[in-house]
Amino acid sequence: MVIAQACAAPDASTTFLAQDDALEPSGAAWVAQFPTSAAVADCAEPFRSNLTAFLAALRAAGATVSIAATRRPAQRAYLMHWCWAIVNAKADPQAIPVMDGVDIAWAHADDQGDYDAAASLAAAQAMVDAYGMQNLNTAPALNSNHIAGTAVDMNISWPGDLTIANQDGSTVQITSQPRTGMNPDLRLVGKSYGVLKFVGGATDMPHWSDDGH
Amino acid sequence: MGIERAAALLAALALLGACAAAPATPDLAAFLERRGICDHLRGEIPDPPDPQRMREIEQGATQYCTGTDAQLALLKIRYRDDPVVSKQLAEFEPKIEATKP
Repeated sequence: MVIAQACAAPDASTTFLAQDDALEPSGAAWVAQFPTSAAVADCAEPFRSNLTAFLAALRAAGATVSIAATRRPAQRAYLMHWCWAIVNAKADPQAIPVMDGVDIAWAHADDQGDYDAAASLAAAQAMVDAYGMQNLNTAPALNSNHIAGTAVDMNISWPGDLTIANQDGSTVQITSQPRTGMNPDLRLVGKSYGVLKFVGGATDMPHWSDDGH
Repeated sequence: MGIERAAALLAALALLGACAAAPATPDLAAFLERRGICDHLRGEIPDPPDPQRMREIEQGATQYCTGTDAQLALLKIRYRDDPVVSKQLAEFEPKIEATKP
């Protein structure tokens, strides 16, 4: 049995409890929902076209590219954020804001229909564990370039020198190190396509986006 | 030493102790840079879970996020009369760090 919050406002004092069988109780099963994409086709335009052109140039030059993530559904970010907040930041399962399209009940009820804080916390913990966030000490973000569809995480490598085309068709020969996505000369090539390497340096090595963030 | 002098000395020591315990307000530019990287990393939780990548994110989050809740609160007080900076600071989530048990 679950208890659902029937008010949309996250900080509303008018939140009340109601039993709603249309909602699915929180728990590990939710983690399979709304998976993060690794498809370029799921990116937003014009980043999608820019990234497609950059990837084509990389592959034509003989580079190996492995994409780990492109777009993360906002629904997944919502689930990750609030299960973490219930477990780690004392967020009240009865007062979590609702999100359109995510029919989850964060507040569980016992057999008498009363709110069950322990069961609600345990279900949120199961989600945190299934997301692999047991040791994360900060809340997952609700907004990011991945959610907007304007970012990609990808590993790039190549043997020897890399002769690659800029967006304007001019050719660049990259002889510098490292032979990875962290190469400063490759960063300039990516920029010509509107695909910018993360400005924070080695703190996020696979990350590229439309604005460097 | 008279009672009044002793009391004054104790009061001065208490004041010094309070000053030493009070956290310093962080530099605004340093905060914006650090919290920017922190917020970026918070959006990079690997999915599906990847233990090595997750460790990198956890370490980065510890390095760049720890203490920023308190710093943000202090900066909001310092710049409460500056509408431009106040608006900038209001865009950050006020509480992103785990609550200590």
